Amino acid sequence: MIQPLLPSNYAMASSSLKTAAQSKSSKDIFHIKYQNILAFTVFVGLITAVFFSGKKLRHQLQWQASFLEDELVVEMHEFGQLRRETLRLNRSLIPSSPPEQAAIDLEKLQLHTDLVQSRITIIEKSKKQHRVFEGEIANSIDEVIQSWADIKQQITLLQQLSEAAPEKRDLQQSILTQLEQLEIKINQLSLINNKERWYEYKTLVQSQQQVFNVLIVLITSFFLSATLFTFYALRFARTRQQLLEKLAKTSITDDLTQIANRRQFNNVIEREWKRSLRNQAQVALMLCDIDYFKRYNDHYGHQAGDKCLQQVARILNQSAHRSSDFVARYGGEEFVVILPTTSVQAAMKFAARLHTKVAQANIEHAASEVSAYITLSIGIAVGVPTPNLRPETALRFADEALYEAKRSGRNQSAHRVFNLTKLQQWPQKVAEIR
Amino acid sequence: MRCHRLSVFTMLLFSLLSCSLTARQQSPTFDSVYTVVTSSQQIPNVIPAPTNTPILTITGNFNATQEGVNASIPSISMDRSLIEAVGTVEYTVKDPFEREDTTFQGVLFRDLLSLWQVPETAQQLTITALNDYQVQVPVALLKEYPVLLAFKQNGQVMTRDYRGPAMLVTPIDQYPNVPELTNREYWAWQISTIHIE
Repeated sequence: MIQPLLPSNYAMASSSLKTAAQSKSSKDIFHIKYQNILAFTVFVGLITAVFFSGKKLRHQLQWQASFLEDELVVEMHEFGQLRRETLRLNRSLIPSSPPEQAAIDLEKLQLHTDLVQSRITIIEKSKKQHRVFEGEIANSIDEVIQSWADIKQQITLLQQLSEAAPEKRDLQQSILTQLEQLEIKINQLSLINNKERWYEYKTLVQSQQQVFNVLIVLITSFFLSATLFTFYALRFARTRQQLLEKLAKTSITDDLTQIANRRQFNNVIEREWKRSLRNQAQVALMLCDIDYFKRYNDHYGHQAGDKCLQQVARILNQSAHRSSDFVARYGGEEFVVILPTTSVQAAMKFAARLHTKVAQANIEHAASEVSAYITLSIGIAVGVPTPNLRPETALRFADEALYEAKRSGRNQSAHRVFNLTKLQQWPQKVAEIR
Repeated sequence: MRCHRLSVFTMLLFSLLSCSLTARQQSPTFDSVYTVVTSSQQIPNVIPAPTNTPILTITGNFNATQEGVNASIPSISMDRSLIEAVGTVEYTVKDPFEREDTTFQGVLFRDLLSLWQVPETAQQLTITALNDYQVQVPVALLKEYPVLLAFKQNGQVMTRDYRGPAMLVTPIDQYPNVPELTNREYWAWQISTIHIE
């Protein structure tokens, strides 16, 4: 479907074309903002993770340390208890005064024997099942158990003997001596064990602390590196964006006059040509040349020539009122203007306006043959594009017109019209449709 | 966009992790912990005198009476068969001392408290072992959780030369979230007297 050619519509389309670069850059800025939000989300996640895992880890380590401490205390307690029970057994074997006559309380003796036996059983079980008693400690535990077995046998013997038996006193005495020796053994065992266990506990806690320290360092360094990485990644993205924007701008701008350059002209003419072809609208191309610019350069120097070019470019740019009008520097002192949807009359009017404005600018040019001031020669090509016609052809027409204008004495404009047939048929076609 | 998905995934993972960390197990009910071995027998209102050698003496704040005991100094002495008449149960816990899964058989303290007719005002039991070890156990703990007065360990009767005649066992593994139960000091063995306060 062919869009109806409405001036407002056209202006909108064209303006959107002109600001395409700007709109793209704004989109990219949004992208950078989005990255910020993303980085923030990741940070929050990291903080949560470190908080939770760190808490759990610390809890676990503390629990382990307390467990070890508990272990140590329990072991110390067990040997201590054994010593205490042995002492009590010893005391139960020594009859109260007068020592020679009093009988031993057999029930009490049995109770204390059982209590010592229970402690011995506990230590035996723990040695067998759970704790690794090595070397000296294991040997001395075995020794204690062995001597206790001997003593217990003798105690049973003692219990079976009647009160009057003559060997009872001797047996009692020997049991007491053995018990004293057992006590010494238990004391030694307890001391060695405490020392060993304490050393073990200390080294374990220290190693755990080391692990914890390493983890802290790791987590911190990870955090720092993540922060730095994100920071530099964002900065890199921003710098790259800015550079790309700058590059895009400089690649389409003429350095000297700060208007569009030949490259941008090539892009724009292609687009405008296609648009006009689609809409079957007239498009006007104007080639403007400064008269006797070589002489101006020779007379005033290249610095002045550059200044003159800048002034002319500014005048041209200011004269192009419509947003769809496009001005570019074509060559050395040549400028090109694209005027979409412009008839021959309108283009001539525009050219006349340019002549007036340049004249008003009053740029002195003593070496010129046509005037005392800078003047322009303008070649105009107006027509409706067809599929077979390339923009280069229209440019050639404009060039021809420019030469015609130059031949006819400069400081004037000439025009060429190409392929206006379609346009001339328009009123007829509209009448037919109606 | 891929990065965004990744961050969403990580957040999801963290939230799941925190959920699993904060999730707590449901505590089992009182009756689901143990299995009944022998059901309770009818015991007369006045507790009969022990026939065998008594192993446990109860003193202090209770209302039950026993045959042949002076009422002015209330005390109950019980032998094993008399205690086991309230009904024996068993369950398996990890023994914190032997560190093995062990099955303990005995009577529930809840049943014993009701047998001794302990009043509501009672706060704690002071349990004394043969070697004068003492521990205070709150009555509320005994009523709320199935705490055992155990006589058998792995099917064998505990004798006085290791843990006998009676031992207090708490269901540590069944209630991992109750810190009071994990207290090892409650595991008193060679229990001889109980004083109710």
